[in-house]
Amino acid sequence: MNNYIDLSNKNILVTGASSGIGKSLVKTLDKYGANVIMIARNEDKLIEIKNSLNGTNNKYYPYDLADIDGIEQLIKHIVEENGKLDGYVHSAGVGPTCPINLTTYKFIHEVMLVNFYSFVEISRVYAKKKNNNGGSIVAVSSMASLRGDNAKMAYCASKAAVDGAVRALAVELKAKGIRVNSVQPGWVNTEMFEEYLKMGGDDARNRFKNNPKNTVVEPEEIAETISFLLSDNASVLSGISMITNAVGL
Amino acid sequence: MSEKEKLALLEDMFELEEGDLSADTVLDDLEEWDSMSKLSLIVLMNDEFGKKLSGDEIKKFNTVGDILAYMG
Ligand SMILES: NC(=O)c1ccc[n+]([C@@H]2O[C@H](COP(=O)([O-])OP(=O)(O)OC[C@H]3O[C@@H](n4cnc5c(N)ncnc54)[C@H](OP(=O)(O)O)[C@@H]3O)[C@@H](O)[C@H]2O)c1
Repeated sequence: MNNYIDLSNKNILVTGASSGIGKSLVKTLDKYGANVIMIARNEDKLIEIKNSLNGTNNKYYPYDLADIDGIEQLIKHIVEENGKLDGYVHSAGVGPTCPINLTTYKFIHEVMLVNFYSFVEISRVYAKKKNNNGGSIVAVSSMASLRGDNAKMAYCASKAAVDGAVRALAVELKAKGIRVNSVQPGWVNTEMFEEYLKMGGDDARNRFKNNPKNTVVEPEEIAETISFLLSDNASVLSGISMITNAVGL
Repeated sequence: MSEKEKLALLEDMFELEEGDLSADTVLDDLEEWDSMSKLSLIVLMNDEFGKKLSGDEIKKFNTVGDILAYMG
């Protein structure tokens, strides 16, 4: 393969593979020769995506990541069927809008289950010697980790938790040859973004008029950066969170 | 849910006193009817009534009565 990025025959696990950034990433990883292992709840979408890929070693495993207790078994099963993992990208996420007066700890917990706990649980299991060939873990965080936003407290906190975990895991997993990073997109043209615009109406739409700080990028662009972080070209990058919004803070 | 209970939910959401709202209250006359309370209403409608309200649909509400009717 003549690509700058070569992920030939690497087993890469992608959560949130059925939509948005995860879906674009699956297609990009397929282009770079990886064996992609997809996780999300919607099986129909996963089948459709798998059928659109060129590679023949791609697999999907429908799973609700809010069920944290079943994750270790799921990864064990995946490794038995596909061999050890070379990379893991956590793109599964929820981004609900909820003003503070309605943001109960139960609501925060629901967000944390998918955005944070499932990420650290998969990372914990990935890091066991029997499950990896070293490799690279990438979390899809958000600029929401750095800057606050109206009615987004639970989401911002969950992404800040992810970035904190990334820095700690990078140190602890160095000895195992595992790099851990995150990307922090601003606004990405996906279903999550569509949902945000629908809920916010004109108030939300107006935020994107003539405002370079709110540049909307395409999921394929984020997928390229993640692919780079997964590749050996990024061998010196670990413990960092990359702002991927095409404009900066 | 009775109309009284629905009004109480809205009064709580707007941080108003009991009895401050009636079906005739015009939303634009309420200082509290701002972008955050509109988001709160969307969440409340989803959590309490299982209805998915959008930002554009909210624009059609003129009075508190319109919200009560939407609650069903
Ligand atoms: N779009 C943006 O503007 C933006 C900006 C910054 C960061 N991000 C982050 O990017 C990541 C991907 O978001 P996106 O924009 O691609 O959103 P999206 O199109 O809504 O995709 C979200 C993905 O997460 C999966 N997911 C959600 N809950 C799940 C659960 N309980 N179990 C398993 N999978 C679950 C969904 O799959 P199923 O529904 O099939 O389960 C879907 O594949 C998220 O972490 C988001 O926070 C997005």
